Formats: sequence, structure tokens, C-alpha cells
Amino acid sequence: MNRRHDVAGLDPAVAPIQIRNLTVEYGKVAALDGLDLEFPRGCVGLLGPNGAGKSSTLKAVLGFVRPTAGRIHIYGLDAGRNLRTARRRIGYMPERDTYLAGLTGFKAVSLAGELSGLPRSEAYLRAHEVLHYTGLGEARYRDVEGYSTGMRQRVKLAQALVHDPPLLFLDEPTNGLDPEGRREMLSLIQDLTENHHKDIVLSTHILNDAEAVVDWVAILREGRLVGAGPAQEILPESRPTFRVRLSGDLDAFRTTLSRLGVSGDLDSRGAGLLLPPPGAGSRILFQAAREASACILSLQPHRPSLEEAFFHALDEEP
Amino acid sequence: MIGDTKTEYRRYEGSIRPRPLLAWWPITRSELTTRVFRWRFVLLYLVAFGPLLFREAILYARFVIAPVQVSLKAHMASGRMSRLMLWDHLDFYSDYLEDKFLWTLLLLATGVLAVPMVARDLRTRAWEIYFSRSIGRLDYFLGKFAAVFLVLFTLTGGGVLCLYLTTALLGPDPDFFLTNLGWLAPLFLYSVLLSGILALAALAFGTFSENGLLLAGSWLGMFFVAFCIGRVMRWVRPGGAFDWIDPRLLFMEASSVIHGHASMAGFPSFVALGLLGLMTALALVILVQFLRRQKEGIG
Repeated sequence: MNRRHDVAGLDPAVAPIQIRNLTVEYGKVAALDGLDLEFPRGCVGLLGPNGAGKSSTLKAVLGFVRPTAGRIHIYGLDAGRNLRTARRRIGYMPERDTYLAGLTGFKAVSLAGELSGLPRSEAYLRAHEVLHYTGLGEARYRDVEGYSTGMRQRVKLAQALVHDPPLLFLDEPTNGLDPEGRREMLSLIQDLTENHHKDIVLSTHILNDAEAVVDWVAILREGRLVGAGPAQEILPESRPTFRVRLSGDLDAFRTTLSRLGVSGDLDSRGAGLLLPPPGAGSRILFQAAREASACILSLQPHRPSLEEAFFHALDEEP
Repeated sequence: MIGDTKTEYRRYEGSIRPRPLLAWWPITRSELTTRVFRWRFVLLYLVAFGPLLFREAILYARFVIAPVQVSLKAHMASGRMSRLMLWDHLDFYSDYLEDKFLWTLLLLATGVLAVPMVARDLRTRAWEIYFSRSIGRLDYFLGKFAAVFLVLFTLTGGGVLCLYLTTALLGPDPDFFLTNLGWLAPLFLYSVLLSGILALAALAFGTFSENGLLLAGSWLGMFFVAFCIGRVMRWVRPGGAFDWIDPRLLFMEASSVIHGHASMAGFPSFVALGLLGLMTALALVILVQFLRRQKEGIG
């Protein structure tokens, strides 16, 4: 049994976050409307368009807002009744450019550790360690205000990690990063999940990020859960999608597509977006064209937007 | 990218020991070590204790270096010097706390330290870091307040204590320390009142904008304007009925009440105490409302 369960008395069989009938209202507007959600272990993606309720879910779990109704359990602990204890189990990396002004990276991270209950000497030691881990070892004595965007993202991750919480909330962790920085951030997230068994909730609007690291996704819309499950099933990105244009007998082609389990449709000019069944790839489209005596004029792999992914998950038109 | 040598992540094997009653202390310590223990505050302390050092030098010269005693006697003919030499009188100490010079330094200290403190957190959205930890709004408030209070109290109560101890050590009366120990209670009480209310007001003032420099300037300007209006009103309506406009005179009146001195203001003492109470309550309401708004606005 690993340390976090020994020390914090956490049950490894219990889900990191259990949300039951959660309702959050701002005045008369319901940001979350009876949300029921149970996050499994590992890296989980919390996805949704703006106003879907992602931030409100996060705020409710961290205790920033008081829910109108419902319960939240963090590793079985009622967060409503034991908020401070629950927060000690969470490391939070905010989305926005948030930092403690006037402090060096080291002081900022060690202060975060102390505020989470680490003894001072341990907070200092941990601050050095996590800053090295996140790649800020050499810059740790520089003022945070002088850091680049990428460095501030790293110091936020270091602050989230300093008290070694079993659960991490990472809100748009690759915001403002260049491709190399983004790759390194995702690599850190992957390392934390796979090698250090952290449970991570990744809130993002970048589908590629979610695809790269999450095992399981929850999709919110208008304060409700509209889809949840393993990433490969929920995100169409995992299944290749193709934008095609063809000539020939369109009706015969449509009939063949349907028989072969390919979803999507073509317009009257023979153009459209097609989604082959899992594991099939583009070959099945050529097979359908051959069988329907049609000719594929062009075929391009298509990377759908997150919005399209949501609607695919819902089987709705965008 | 940053040139660095990464290390492996290590699990924390130690204990997490929450201190619910002292959860605010790391914030205070951080503020003190990063902002107060800087050259500009060292300078401020030196300036604040300058008059003290002068008075102590006079005491030392008067009672320890005997030959100087003669020449000092000549100087004591002047009113200021004789006032300075009233070392064995309570007024000597309360005067220090009511001095315009010290008041100006207190305003400078709050303007430089306290007013930008909250404004800075507002600008950098530091709330998201603070409130995602095991602390609440009260801890945040206490952490900031304690840092400002400690600075102001060392300038006021600390100064008084230095003066008292010097007098006890250098003065001619060997029993001075024990005989007059009772003086310290009202002096410290007034120091606490002065430091506490000023710290609260400055922190509340710091919630009005993200621009710390603008706020600090406005803070000092506000007191300067109040001082000028008070002076003008005294000239227009002699008798001091409008002295309450100047906060320094409100505090002076509170000092008179605490020390049992006769009131020198042209308005009743309860007006001074009531206005100071109102100032405190208003500052608290502003801070509480502000923290509530910030916390709910996160995310």
C-alpha cells in the first residue's frame, strides 16, 4: 500500500471524487444542475464549452462556492464538512496567471507548502525538490514576477505538488506554452499519472492535450453531465475521421456505408465527414466506394474541434 | 526553454501537521521577511527611532557623563529641552506616541507596506493560491493584518519600551523600573489601538484598486487633506470643534482618555472614541465583503 493511503488514511478502492446531485446556483441561474459524477483513478479530462459548469464544479470541490444542494466526497471524505482536510488532498493549478508577487519561486512554493500544513523545514525541502522536478531548479531564486509564461505555469504546477497531494486539479495547464513547453508539461503530467500514481483532473478546451494524457473523460454542458467514459470511446479523435469528396452513385455509397457501420453523411455534391467504426481506418471507405462503384476524389484525415467531439459524443448535430 | 537538470519526483514521506490556530502565521512571516526586512524599512526604523536615540543620548549625558551635566542645565532653559528631560513623568512617553513626527512615519509605513499588500494580491489573483490551501478567509486576513500590526507596534510600543528601559538603566532612580511599571499598560494599550486601527484601515483601503502606487499616494493624500481641513476649520471656527476631521487628533483624544489626561480637543471624548469605532467597523466590513467577493469570483 502506498504512503498516501498509510498517512492520510485513504482507501485506494474509493473514487478520488464522488459528486452526488450537486447544484450550484448564482442567483437564479443554475451553473450546475443536479450533477452526478464519479471520477475513476488516473488522469481524467473534464471537458465542456464555456459556461458548461467546469469551473463551477472545480469551485464547489475546492469550497470556493457553497453548493445549493448535493454532496462532494474526496477519497470518501465529505468535503462539505471537512473542507480543510479535503483541500490537503488536492493540489490545484489555476488556469489564470496567478502568482504570489514579490516572492522568489522558492519562497512562493514553500509558502504554499506551509499553508497546506507542511512543517517549515519540510516545506523548504519539498520546494527545492518540486522546483527541480518541474524544471525550475536554476531559476528558483528569481522573482516569480520576472518569470516567463512557461515558467509561471511550471511554478504553479510546483505549488500544486509541494504537499504531495494524491489528487491534482490542473486547469488549462498548457495555456500560453510554446510547442516544446506544451510537450514538456504533458510529459510531466504523464509521468505523475503513470509513475507516481497521481489522480489528475485535467480541465481543458484543447482536445489534443486531453487526447495525449487522459484515460477517462467527463463532458459537461449547461451544468449537466452529457457524456462520461473511457477517452477512446468518448472522444472521436481516437477514431480516425475523414473528410471525403467523391463522384458516382451517392445513394449506393450511402447504403454501403451504412451496412459497413460507417457513420456520417454526404451532401448532394458528394462531400462530407465520415467516421469509420473503431479500428477500421480509411480502408473501409475505399471498400465502400469500390462496392458502390463510386470514385473517391479526395480523402483527408479530419481533426474535429472539441465542440464537434462533444456533439459526436451526443450523436447530435453541431 | 530553461536550461535545467530535472530530478525525479519524490513522494513526501513526512507528516502533514495542520495548525488551525496558527494557519495565518506563514503569511505573516512571508510578508515580514520579504517586504519588511528590506533597506527601506530599516531606514524607516532608524528615522522613527531617531528622536528616541536623541532623547536617550540626552539622558545618558545628563546622568552618566557628569561634566556634561553643567552645559545641559544651560540648555534646559529652553522649553523644548526641558520637555525632553521630563523622563520621570508619564507625559514624556505618551508625548512620543502622539508626536506628529511618529504619526507621519506611521502613515508612511502603512502607505508603503499595508496599502499595496492587498492590492498586489488583487492584481496577481493570489487568492486562488491562498484559498485552495488549508486556510480560510480569516487566516488570510489575520496573516496580512498581523504583519502590518507588528511593524506599527514595534514603531510605537517598541519605541516606548526602549525609552522606558533606557530610563530605567541610565536614570538616577534605581527603583524607576519597578515603581513605574504600571505606566506600560496604558502606553501599550494605546499603541495597540493606534496600530490596530491604522492597520485595519490601510488594509481596507488597499482593496479599492489593483494599483498599489496610486493607492499609497491616495492614502497619504487623504490624511494630508484631512490635516489641512482641520487646520483651516480651526482658523475659521476657533475652539477646535472641528478637530475631529483630522484623524491624528482623534487618536490624541483617545490617548488622553486612556492615560487619564484632561481633554485638549474641542469636541467630546465620546465623539473621538465613536469615530474611531466607526472607522474600525467600516474597515472590517469592507475587508469581509471584499474577501467574500474574491473567494466566490475564483475559477
